[in-house]
Amino acid sequence: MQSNAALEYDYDIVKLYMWTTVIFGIVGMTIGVLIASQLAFPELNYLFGEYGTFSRLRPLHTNVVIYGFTVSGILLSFYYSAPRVLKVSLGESPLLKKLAYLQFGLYLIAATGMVISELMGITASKEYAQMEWPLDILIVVIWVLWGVIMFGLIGMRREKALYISLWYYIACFLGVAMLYLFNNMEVPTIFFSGGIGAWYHSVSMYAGTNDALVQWWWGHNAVAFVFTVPIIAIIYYFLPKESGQAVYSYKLSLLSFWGLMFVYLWAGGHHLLWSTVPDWMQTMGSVFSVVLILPSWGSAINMLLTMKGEWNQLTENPLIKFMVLASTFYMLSTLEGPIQAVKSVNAIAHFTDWIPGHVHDGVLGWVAFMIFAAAMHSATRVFKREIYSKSLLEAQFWIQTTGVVLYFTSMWIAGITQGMMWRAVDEYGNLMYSFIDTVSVLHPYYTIRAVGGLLYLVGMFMFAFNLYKTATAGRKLEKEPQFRSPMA
Amino acid sequence: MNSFIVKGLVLAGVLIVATLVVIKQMHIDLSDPINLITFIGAIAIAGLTFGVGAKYMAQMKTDHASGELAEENWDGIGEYKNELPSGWAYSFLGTMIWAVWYFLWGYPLNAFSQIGQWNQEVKTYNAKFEKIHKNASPEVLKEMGESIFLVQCAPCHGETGDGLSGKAQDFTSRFKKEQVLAVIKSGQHQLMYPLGAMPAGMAQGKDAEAVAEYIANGMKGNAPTAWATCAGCHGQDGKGNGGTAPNLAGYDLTLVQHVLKNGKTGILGHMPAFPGRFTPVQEKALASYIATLKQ
Ligand code: HEC
Ligand code: HEC
Ligand code: HEM
Repeated sequence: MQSNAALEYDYDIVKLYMWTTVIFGIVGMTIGVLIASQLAFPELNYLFGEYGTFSRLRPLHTNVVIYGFTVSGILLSFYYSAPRVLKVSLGESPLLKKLAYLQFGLYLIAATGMVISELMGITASKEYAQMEWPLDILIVVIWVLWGVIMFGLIGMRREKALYISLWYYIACFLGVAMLYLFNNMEVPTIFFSGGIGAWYHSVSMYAGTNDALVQWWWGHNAVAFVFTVPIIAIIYYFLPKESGQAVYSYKLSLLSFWGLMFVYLWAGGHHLLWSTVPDWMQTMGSVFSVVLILPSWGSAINMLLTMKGEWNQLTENPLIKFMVLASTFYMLSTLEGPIQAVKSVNAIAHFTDWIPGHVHDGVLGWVAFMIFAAAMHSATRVFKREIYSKSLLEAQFWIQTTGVVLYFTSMWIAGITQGMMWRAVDEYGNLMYSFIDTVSVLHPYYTIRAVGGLLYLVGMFMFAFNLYKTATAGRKLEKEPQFRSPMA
Repeated sequence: MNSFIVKGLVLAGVLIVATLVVIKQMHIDLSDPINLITFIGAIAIAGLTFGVGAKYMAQMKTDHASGELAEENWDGIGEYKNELPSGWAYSFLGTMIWAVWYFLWGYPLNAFSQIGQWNQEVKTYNAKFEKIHKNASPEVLKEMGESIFLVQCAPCHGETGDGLSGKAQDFTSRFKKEQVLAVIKSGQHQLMYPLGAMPAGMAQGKDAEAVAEYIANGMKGNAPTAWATCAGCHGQDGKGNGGTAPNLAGYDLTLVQHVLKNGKTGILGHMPAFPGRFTPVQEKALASYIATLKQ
């Protein structure tokens, strides 16, 4: 092993992704609150003409929070933590650093293009794959650049073994690369139509049930390789680092990792239960989803056990609060998902608000919480300053936790009620309720969801302010803290 | 039990009870197997997550970290060489064994068809339904008819059966004058009555007007002379001659059956066929309900 002589890490790229995380977070969640309010108060659809309608804004919301906020958060955490566990600085290779700048520049262009094109209503019409082919090509370039940088850093490393987080970053890179390419196979129509139609327009290379299968193979694994795998990479670095506790069990990390890798890819069929997909494939999707509970819970349990005996850290350090609650929300969504994938339960749950409820347990309680904690922890090292306000961070935690709880409980009750109303029959076997009946019953829950979302957004603004103040006005630190992030 | 776990389970209980209260307000029948399984699933999600989560929270308070550290460490992060938690390991093994068993034997691979299952369920349900309602009273039939009508027919015919201002047949009367005139002019061959087609041009000019007027007015008073031509097939009273031609005086079971089986396109629009969608009892129920709508 190399000496422990302090290495000056180069954080220039980390700073850039920190700001995109904040900006996309604010934009994406503001749109989230708007569309949540539109579902409760439809008049809000007409604020900005065609650009303000639910149908335009919903895909914009999902794309901005996924490809803007979450991907920025992942890259910020990667550029911060990967060099540290490999013990190399990005600055040691001028080439890799230039490539990282190039990657960031292209990322900004792609993200801006995504926002503008989707606002204009240009879409490939596949969920989480709405970007049209010119943007898709750009995304591939960005992704390849990330791979070059990742493996470049690994090649230069001074640590012999790869830390757990790195396994997960590599899996994120490979998984998304494969899935994104196959799902976005599309034909730009202009080249085959003799010049008719818009230059950016394309049609999928698959049709019918095959298209749906490929789409949900991707759709589900976007959850796996964007919302799960890299976030596990984040928690495996930031929770032990912030708490100073050693990871509970190496064996458990190893089994959970390979379990997740083997099982996740088969579960996508659960998005197409009771559809035209062959019965055996549907069953396969359900069965693999149920098996998936354990490798998912393995990582969460490993993290919670890492905090064994550290109750005082939980009560005193808001960053630890964020991360411990994130593990718990991760457990909630990875049990809820598999149970919703049981065919009988899916007969109720599919198409109801229980699904967005389930999604947001994961994204608000797990993904975004981890990104907030990682960004704040990194900020103290990147800017060499104390976190500006502990009480603000504490308040953000409680406000956002209230927001998530309101979101998931309201959508849980709303979704189950809605699904059961759709099935309800009178004594003669005829449907008891029409669609509009369910809408009026659900109105209060939509309102509660919008309020929960608003609280979460308020927390997002508090985070942005706190991060900005930390970068500019936090008390200067003489020495880099070893574990716990200092805060005022 | 540890106070954390108790609190966790109380939280789960509150969520479940709240859900139960809301669905009960909507008169949801929890004995329906799909509803029941879903509800049990919901209990499992809330109970297991909050219960198990609370168990680990409790460990943060009471337990302490121990074990043998691995030699390496990364940026100051160490790793214990602890064994797998046994509950987790056995559950993982258990689900894997279950998965293989279920996929290959429990659920016989490739021997299940959701369409087959659907057909089977519908058949069983209908048989049971016919048996229960074989001798349904007129009141029950009318109520059943209304319940079917509101779901299947009201979207076009309107909740009161008034045809939504001419978008579909208005059941508060039998025919509008223009409808009859159109049939006289063009004939009709859609409903497949024993008499076959209704020929075009069975009456002309004033005669046609008079007959149409007479039918549209509910066949009250004296019949115009030209009615004789029509009566040959539709019966003197216009009631269809024992089911060989459509009833022009009111809505009866025979008419409803023919319309549901074949659909109908006329000057108002297109009525889709509903072949095989209703059991005989349900058709009877629909007919008796529609008959009561006429003023
Ligand atoms: C040769 C026998 C015959 C004669 C005569 C006849 N009809 Fe008909 N009519 C039928 C048959 C059969 C039908 C059903 C046609 C079908 O299958 O759609 C019918 C249908 C109708 C319908 C449409 C009923 C519905 O529910 O859609 C009207 C209205 C009607 N006839 C009016 C008349 C009038 C008025 C006359 C006299 C001018 C007349 N018919 C003479 C045999 C006859
Ligand atoms: C998609 C719309 C639609 C639905 C659903 C519908 N109908 Fe109709 N129905 C029509 C239209 C339109 C007409 C009138 C056709 C014409 O004569 O122009 C009609 C006519 C009728 C007639 C009169 C036919 C005749 O020849 O006198 C009957 C009886 C009838 N419908 C029964 C039903 C019943 C029972 C249901 C529910 C099971 C139903 N309809 C559902 C559109 C609909
Ligand atoms: C302020 C917080 C947020 C609010 C109020 C909010 C609100 C919403 C609403 C109303 C929908 C549409 C649901 C429907 O169509 O019925 C939605 C969908 C979605 N949101 Fe959010 N959102 C928020 C934050 C986030 C974040 C941070 C993420 C990811 C990191 C996210 C990911 C998603 C996804 C993936 C969907 C699609 C779900 C599906 O297809 O079922 N949201 N959100």
